[in-house]
Amino acid sequence: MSKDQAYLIWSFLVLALSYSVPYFLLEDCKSLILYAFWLVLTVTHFVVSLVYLKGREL
Amino acid sequence: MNELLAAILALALYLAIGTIIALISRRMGIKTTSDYYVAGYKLGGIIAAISYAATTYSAFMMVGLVGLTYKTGVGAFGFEITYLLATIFILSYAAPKVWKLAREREWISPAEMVGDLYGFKSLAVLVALMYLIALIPYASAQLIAVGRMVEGMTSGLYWLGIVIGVVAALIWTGLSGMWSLASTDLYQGTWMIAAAIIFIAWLFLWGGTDISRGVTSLGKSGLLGMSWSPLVFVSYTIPWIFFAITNPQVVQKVYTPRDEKALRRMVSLFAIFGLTYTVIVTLVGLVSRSLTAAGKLSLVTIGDQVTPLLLSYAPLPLAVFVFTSIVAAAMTTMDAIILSLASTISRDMYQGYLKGSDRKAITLGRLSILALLLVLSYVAYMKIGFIVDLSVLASALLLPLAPVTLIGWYTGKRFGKIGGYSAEASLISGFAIGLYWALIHGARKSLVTPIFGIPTTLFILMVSTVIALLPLAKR
Repeated sequence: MSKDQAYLIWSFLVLALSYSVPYFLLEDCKSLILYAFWLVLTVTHFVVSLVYLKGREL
Repeated sequence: MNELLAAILALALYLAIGTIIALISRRMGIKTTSDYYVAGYKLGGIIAAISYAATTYSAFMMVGLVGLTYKTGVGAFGFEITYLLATIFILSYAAPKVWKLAREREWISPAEMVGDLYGFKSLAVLVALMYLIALIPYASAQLIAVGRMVEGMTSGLYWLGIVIGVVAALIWTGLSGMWSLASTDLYQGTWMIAAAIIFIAWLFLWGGTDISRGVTSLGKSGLLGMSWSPLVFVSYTIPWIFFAITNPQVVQKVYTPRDEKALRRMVSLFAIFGLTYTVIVTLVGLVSRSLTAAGKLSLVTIGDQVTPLLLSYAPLPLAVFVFTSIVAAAMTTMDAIILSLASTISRDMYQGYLKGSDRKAITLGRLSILALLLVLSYVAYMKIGFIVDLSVLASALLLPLAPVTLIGWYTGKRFGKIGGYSAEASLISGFAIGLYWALIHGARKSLVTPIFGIPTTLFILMVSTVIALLPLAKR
């Protein structure tokens, strides 16, 4: 699997999680867990994207 | 009197600094249309990043999104962060390819890009028309936001806001095109983020222990869970997921970084800016709601009034600083749209068909900026209801451009003429569905009124994608 394919799969997974977790796991949460989930997901995606962007040839 | 004086001083300072920056940017020298519209493909990473961010984040953030979070809870954060997740992906994955192609094929306007990708000239004109119809209302809404902010700061001088917006846009955009736009964006973006950081710090200090008391009751009222229905969430997020592909004012920014390093820096700094700004804005909304739950802040029924109410408790210098940052957010978005639309008029319509010289095209671009600003100021001053309402639909109306552009980026001219016709049919169908639905249900309601049980924007995207992919099936 190429880096591009891996990153593509990763990004679709991130978007799928952004849509599904709030409804399937955290719909009725009473604390800031849902907020934290989206925040951690974004920071992780940012770090992965940064690594991908640095490693790819333009 | 103190408040009025402070507001006028802050606005005067803001305008003076911006104008000095725009005047300095004239030194870059404008000879060709690429100099004027894409800064000769020579922007540094930091300036490109802040310009991209300031263009993206409009007055909606500090006014609309604060209110939306206040009223609907954490779901509003999800709505905005899903945009950011998708944009980080698009910029990391596709932007390098687009950046490279823009240099090779000397793209200046995004409509020109789409036409060139399919080798179909009339497609560029169709895309240009779509931009004009969809983005004039969106840009008008930004000018209205400038008017309203100045009206709030000066106790009633709405017209002054319109005049400030038009004059500043004319100088900051018209003078040196992308050079003056990006330089003033850097300055305004810095103002926006600095004001946001100081605002949230003050809010936490002011709220004190009432915030944690209020957060507990927010949990009980369901505002910390997923309070948005799947239909609304999907309908609202889909146009924003593709915003980086469909909106010319940001697509054009991807052409501008001077080298690979600047492009990488643009993507990473934009993401940092976007995440910081989104977190701050949504925290302002959540903290305000907590303070209402704790009894420190009265209940606000109109979302857009949350920020003005909070600022009425803030020290005067902070209040004018934040109000001016909202003016800056609206200005940066409007300026970028105006320049992008002007590039479409002078490049796709004038140079594309009449083969005009660069010098004449730049003059026409400046005249287009003036004409567009006159149209916007008329709409904003008269507050023409239907046009203003259409602004919420801008991204939905541009949505058909997503499949057409993506197919163009990755398959190019392989489909020949049939590809061009399919692309045109795809754009017309998606655009017509969005406009028809808005005429039937009203612009705002049309977004949350499903078509055959499918969220409106998803339906538009599906229809456009299927039609745009038809040549693939034929093969």
